[in-house]
Amino acid sequence: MDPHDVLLSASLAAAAAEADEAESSVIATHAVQRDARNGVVTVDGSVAERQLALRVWLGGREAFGTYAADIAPSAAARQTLDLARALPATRSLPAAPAVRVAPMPPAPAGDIAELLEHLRGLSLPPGDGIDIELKASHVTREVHLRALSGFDGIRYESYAVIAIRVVGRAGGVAAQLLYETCELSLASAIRHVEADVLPEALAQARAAVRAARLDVQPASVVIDARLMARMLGLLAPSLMLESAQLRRSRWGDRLGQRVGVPGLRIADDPVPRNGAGAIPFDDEGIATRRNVLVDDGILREFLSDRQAASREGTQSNGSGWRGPAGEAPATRARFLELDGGNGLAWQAHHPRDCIPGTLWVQQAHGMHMANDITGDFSFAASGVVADGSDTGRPVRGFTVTGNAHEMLQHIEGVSRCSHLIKSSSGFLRSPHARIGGLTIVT
Amino acid sequence: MTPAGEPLPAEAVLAEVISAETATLCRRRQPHWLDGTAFGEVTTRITGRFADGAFIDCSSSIDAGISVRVHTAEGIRYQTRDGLRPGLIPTAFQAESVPLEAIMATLAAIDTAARAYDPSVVQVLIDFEIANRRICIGSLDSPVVQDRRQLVYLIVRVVARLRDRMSAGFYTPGLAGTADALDPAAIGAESAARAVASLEARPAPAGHFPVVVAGGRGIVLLHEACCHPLEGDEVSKGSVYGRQLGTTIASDLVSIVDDGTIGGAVGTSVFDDEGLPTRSTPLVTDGRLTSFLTDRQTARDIGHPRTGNARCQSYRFPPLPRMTNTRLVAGTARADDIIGDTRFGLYAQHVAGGEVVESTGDFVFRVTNGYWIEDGKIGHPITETTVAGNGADVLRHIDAVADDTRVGAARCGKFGQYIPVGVAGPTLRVRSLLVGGSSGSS
Repeated sequence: MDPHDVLLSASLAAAAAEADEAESSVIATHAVQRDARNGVVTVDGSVAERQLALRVWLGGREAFGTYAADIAPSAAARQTLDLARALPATRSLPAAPAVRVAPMPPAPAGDIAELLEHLRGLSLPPGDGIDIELKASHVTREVHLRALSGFDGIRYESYAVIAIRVVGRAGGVAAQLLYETCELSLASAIRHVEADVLPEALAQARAAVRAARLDVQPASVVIDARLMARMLGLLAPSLMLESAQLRRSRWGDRLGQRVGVPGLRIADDPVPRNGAGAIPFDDEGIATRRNVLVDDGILREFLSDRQAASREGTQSNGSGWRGPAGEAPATRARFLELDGGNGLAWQAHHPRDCIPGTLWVQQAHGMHMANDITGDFSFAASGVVADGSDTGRPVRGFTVTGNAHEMLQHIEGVSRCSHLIKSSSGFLRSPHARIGGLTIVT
Repeated sequence: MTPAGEPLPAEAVLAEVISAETATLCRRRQPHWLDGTAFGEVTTRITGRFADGAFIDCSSSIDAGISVRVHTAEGIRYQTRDGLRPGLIPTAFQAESVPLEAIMATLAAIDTAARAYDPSVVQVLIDFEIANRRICIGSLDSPVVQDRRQLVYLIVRVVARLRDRMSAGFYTPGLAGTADALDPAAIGAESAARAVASLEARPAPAGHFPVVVAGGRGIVLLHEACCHPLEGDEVSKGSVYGRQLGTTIASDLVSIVDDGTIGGAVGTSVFDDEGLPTRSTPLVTDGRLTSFLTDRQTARDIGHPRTGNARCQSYRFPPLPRMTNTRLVAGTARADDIIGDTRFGLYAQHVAGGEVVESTGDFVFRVTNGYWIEDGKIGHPITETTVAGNGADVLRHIDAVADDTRVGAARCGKFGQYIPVGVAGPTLRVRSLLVGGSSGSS
């Protein structure tokens, strides 16, 4: 018998003795990590784990527990029920997942060993004082979810993240640049790094050692797609129904009102239109769908899980996800993307496409320290000033200050191309964006 | 089981498993292995969110696993697996009870104290983590050792509202110990004070100014500006201080220690995560660079003594050289006198976090509660702002160190691993830093 099946059945059976409702999940994860620096593999590792999670409801009390998979299912149930008994009765029974989903086959992984060896080759330094460090991780996950109410589903997840650090040195000056890329497969990620990211990184590193302090106020400001994606992560809490109910969202009472410029769209889409990497149900068993949260600049919807939705008398829109450290499912974004459609389309994809005097912000430090309630941010940055040349004039030593919510009201244009990253806020995709109203301090 | 049929204590179970793994490692040792460790842990954890007097959610976890790491001339190779041995976990750990009533009482007391501080306080949100880690490590060259680490870590966010203004206060109390050592009344009042003060905050001026940094959490300045580039892996990659051992890198008022032995500090442990005893390592003494921070691999790579600074987030991750508790040695000045001696500048009362570029020493940190100093007096509060600088410049420009040492707690992220770190020290002043405000540039 499938060991996952045994664990699911036994833990549910043990919980059913007392619980009003219970949901059990088993997540089998396999991850490989390879770091290569200047052609040498410095870290080579793998993680294999199976984790049991149990969520129980007992007399208005809800508790969630996660356990190493070799724990006896009865012990897991007892531990979780003990926790529930110790909590106050504040939770209603969840709506049962209504959709039974046929498992989608896992995506083929390819020859991981061969791919990782190719990665080592990509880290070979070009020989002009530049160091290259690549950190790649490839994660595959099999998620089984079963509920006493009858839901039974399996889904497969896979993604690869490659972080790149390039350090250029010339004439006693060093410049360190960071990039990251995320794709659904390791093969795609490596292709993207080889074809696009690494050539761009090397060019920028060679220019950055010549960077001077920014000494003029720019004519306009462009935030690179990778940084805009991180800005999108700053907005995620404000797009959650739970945050609105807790009065922590700046947009809590703005449903139906303008929060961004016309043409702006923000959606959470665990079911990408091309089907690749589709996640059919969330961590509560609710069918996922494309949720358009901001459309044409108007706030249309919040992300919601079952508890937040039940407080509003509505239904979850499939946004109940476990936290980055495996915490209990709650309202979270999974795959946020920002785009501008035709209305905000702007033909620039590179600093050379911009009018002279435009500051293209390429690197940032301290973005993670933004205030997630007010949306205020301020980070140190470097980039280039467009000057009609192919590379632009590299500049450093300035800070960018603004507010993530107000920024949406000042987007002047977005590129057609976009970039995907992975963060603790989930997957984030954004184009380059030209933005007014930011304060540049030199 | 003991001869009397009782379950073995948790530590005995772990020691048995790791001793066996270490024996296997020794038996299978290859000629090209320079070192090797077996790391095992069992961690019980309670996490959750508490808002406005009630739990939003609460989770418990029992996590257990083993990682075997081998060091070669190129780098580290590792493999992990979850669990220890089937059936061992419940017999060993089921007796551990969850002190949930005490936790609830503490969180409720924080909430009450925060609201009592000022009627403008409208929300109190607390993320909490209480962890009990049992660690066991064996290696090819040392006896099997054990360590027990208890951690309490809170993230308290208080929202204050006055007319149309909203502000947020942020405070992260933490300690190595149990929750009953916290002072909920003081935590609630401090968190509320930060939020309420920000209601009247004006935008920070932008430009280069003297900055007085309050002690405790303010030592994040040195954590970023100085200590990350001293970590062995960054030294091996050519960090900004990599070739400066024995030279003067800071003002002679500056002595910095990495101290893994400070009682109750969140970065304290008996052994590091490779089984070496933690210690107090002087990094900078009277301005002179005296040591780097190493783990087994980087000690070999850079030819530096082992300092017992190998740390990993969990068994799933390879260890890295990390800080434990960063301590600035107290000076002789009085904090009030330093402020009185500052004609104009920024008083950084509370600091959230920061980020550094290791190869250049450029860094940022975020001031969450600050005040403008004018004519030696603390004036109006300023909005959250980022302060940036270069580590080498900052260390030389520290021109005052007070005698009012305080201890703070933080979480440090490095290559996707988040660990608790302590920061301790007195008030200090830096002659000039770039303040990224928005009220006009200089």
